[in-house]
Amino acid sequence: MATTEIKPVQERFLLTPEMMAGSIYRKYEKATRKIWDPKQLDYGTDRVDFERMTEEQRNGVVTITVRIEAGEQAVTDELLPMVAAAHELGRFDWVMFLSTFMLEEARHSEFFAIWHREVCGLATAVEKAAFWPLREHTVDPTGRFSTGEPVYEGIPRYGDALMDAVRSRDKRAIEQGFIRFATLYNAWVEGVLTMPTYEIVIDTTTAWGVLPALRQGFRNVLSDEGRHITFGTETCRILISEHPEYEALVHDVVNEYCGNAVGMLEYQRNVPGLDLQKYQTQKVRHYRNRCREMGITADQRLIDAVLDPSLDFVVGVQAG
Amino acid sequence: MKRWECLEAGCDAVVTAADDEELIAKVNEHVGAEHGSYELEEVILAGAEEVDGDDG
Repeated sequence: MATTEIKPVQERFLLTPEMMAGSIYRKYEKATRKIWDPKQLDYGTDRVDFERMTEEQRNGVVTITVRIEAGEQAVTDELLPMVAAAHELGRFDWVMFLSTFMLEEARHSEFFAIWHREVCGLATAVEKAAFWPLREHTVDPTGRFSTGEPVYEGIPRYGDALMDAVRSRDKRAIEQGFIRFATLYNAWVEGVLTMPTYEIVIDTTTAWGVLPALRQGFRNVLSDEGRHITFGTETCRILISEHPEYEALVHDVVNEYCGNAVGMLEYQRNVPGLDLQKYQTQKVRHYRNRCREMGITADQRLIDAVLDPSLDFVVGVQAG
Repeated sequence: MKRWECLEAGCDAVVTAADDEELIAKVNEHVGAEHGSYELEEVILAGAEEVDGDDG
């Protein structure tokens, strides 16, 4: 029967002065100061606005918000491998920050569930699914790129691999698995692919003069996401600075889902009156920001593809 | 001094400021006016570098 050796007393204190002087602990401190409560927002104006919006406007916004609600719930539910890996790597400051990270993703899940129920009258999964256009309806007519489901296929797969590495207790395997997971989740999904979505909602609800609670909620979510994104890129930077060969892992993960960045996706194109090219171009800034934060070189071929005006998706069916 | 370089495609603007608070405000003035967008506070701080001040 396996036994666990009890740690000597001096090894039971995990939070060191060096950690408390570091950048990850600073994010933890900030997160604990920036708590907000979705139940404190006033949804009454949004309810009135929603009723007077056109059907096209309502469908455009809800096509985005149902996707974001499910995405927030998925990432809340899939974060555990990062916590397990941070524990196994002895990075207690990372564990501390991740405790706020998971709480914040849960809060975002709650916010969108409340907004859909209070403003749109959508409470059940069936009601929300009716507004969800399927990813396979987004097609690159040139045939060069395909779009995947990084949140619903990639993150669980990378999470399983990271948990396997944690169980192996092989430090290098855990570090590599952590970089793959953080790259996909924090740097690529949160830090590049989803960023235009936030801007679309804030820009359009501002231009239409509607849905102040949704806009405030999105701003609060974005403030939290800024810490999550830069936690992922900072931890990758730390590991890559110790092992420069790990940079290749970042590019491999981005390459696997690069197709999702070369055009605007089906759920991002449904809001009437958008300048889609503006949001497409901004993906380059987000990608280059992530590379700068990680201390790695951006892939110019990917940037060229994102900016290539001959590449754009077509959407065959608007909702699933 | 803090220095931040805009990485929007085709933009090479550089913003400098005395401290984090000023940098965040000046970066978002630039990103809003030039690109119709915004930059997150944490992203600005993560992309900023410390440079020698120029008292000039």
